[in-house]
Amino acid sequence: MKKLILFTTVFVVMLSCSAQSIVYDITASPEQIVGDNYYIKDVNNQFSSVVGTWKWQDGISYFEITLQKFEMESYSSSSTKYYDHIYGKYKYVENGVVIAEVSQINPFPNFKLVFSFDTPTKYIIGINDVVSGKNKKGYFIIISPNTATLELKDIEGVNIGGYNSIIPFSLPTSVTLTKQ
Amino acid sequence: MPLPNTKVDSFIHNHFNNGNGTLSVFSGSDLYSLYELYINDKIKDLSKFVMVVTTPGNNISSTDDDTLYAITINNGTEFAAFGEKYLTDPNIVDIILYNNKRNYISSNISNELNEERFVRMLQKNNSGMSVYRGDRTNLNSWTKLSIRNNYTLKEVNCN
Repeated sequence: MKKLILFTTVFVVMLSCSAQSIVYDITASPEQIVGDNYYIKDVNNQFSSVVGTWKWQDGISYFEITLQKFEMESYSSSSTKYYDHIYGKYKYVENGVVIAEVSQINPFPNFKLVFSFDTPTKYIIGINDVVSGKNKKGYFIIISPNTATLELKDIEGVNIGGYNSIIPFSLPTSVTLTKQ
Repeated sequence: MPLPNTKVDSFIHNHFNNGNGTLSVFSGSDLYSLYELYINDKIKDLSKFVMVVTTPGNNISSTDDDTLYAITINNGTEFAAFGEKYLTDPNIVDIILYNNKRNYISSNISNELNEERFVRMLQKNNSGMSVYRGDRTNLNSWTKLSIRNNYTLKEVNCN
């Protein structure tokens, strides 16, 4: 009986160990990340410097983005790769009129705004304009604890099919935002 | 750019330097476009289809870092699954696959690193695609690229 208990205990521990992911910090380079069983984690809580609400305002015009951290996200139920990510929502008001709004923060794959860590003060962002359907990417650079710049540009490469619209991109492409 | 009216045998394009550097491998938008061709039934024969990109590298005053790559689809089932998961939205491709710490592919890093990371990204995600590096002086010499278990680049001459 004791042998059976010991065997069961060892087996459970082995199963538990094999199911554990190797944890890498978000600062790890791609070459440091090996295997198919890992968790790229915001170990030092660096995302806290961007999570929250940021706003650019000029009179009754404003562009507001709200960012939320999602932990241990996987891209499929069968995957053993996990990530911490930042997704967001936005609202753009021009002269008091709502031009574009995403009212809910959705994670992968339905996000409209995503931040990817580059350095503690620099994030690569991807944003979908819900008015034109067009996408841009760019940088969100923190220049002080409560101030950041947002610069957007077109995504590189050919563009065939799905997201060609004659409606111009409706969101601001170069603004300085203040953390609320 | 709208989808072509007829099915295509292959697709060749170039990247150019727009003042922000040039991506030396296929971009996320390129892969997105490839999947658009696929799901809209615009590829004549998936097993023979070739997509090619030529780039001037980052040094536009020299041809030394020009690049030439081709991709083929070796497993249609894997490609369909990869596309359904990652290639339905340009932001998913560009941010999740390319501009992410687990696989950063960018015009800001060397051609060699981009090449290795691009091949690894496709291979580790079971994309169903094969990558080939071409001789930039002609289109007759190709090297198949893959990643070994120890994560180094494996090159096999196709000629």
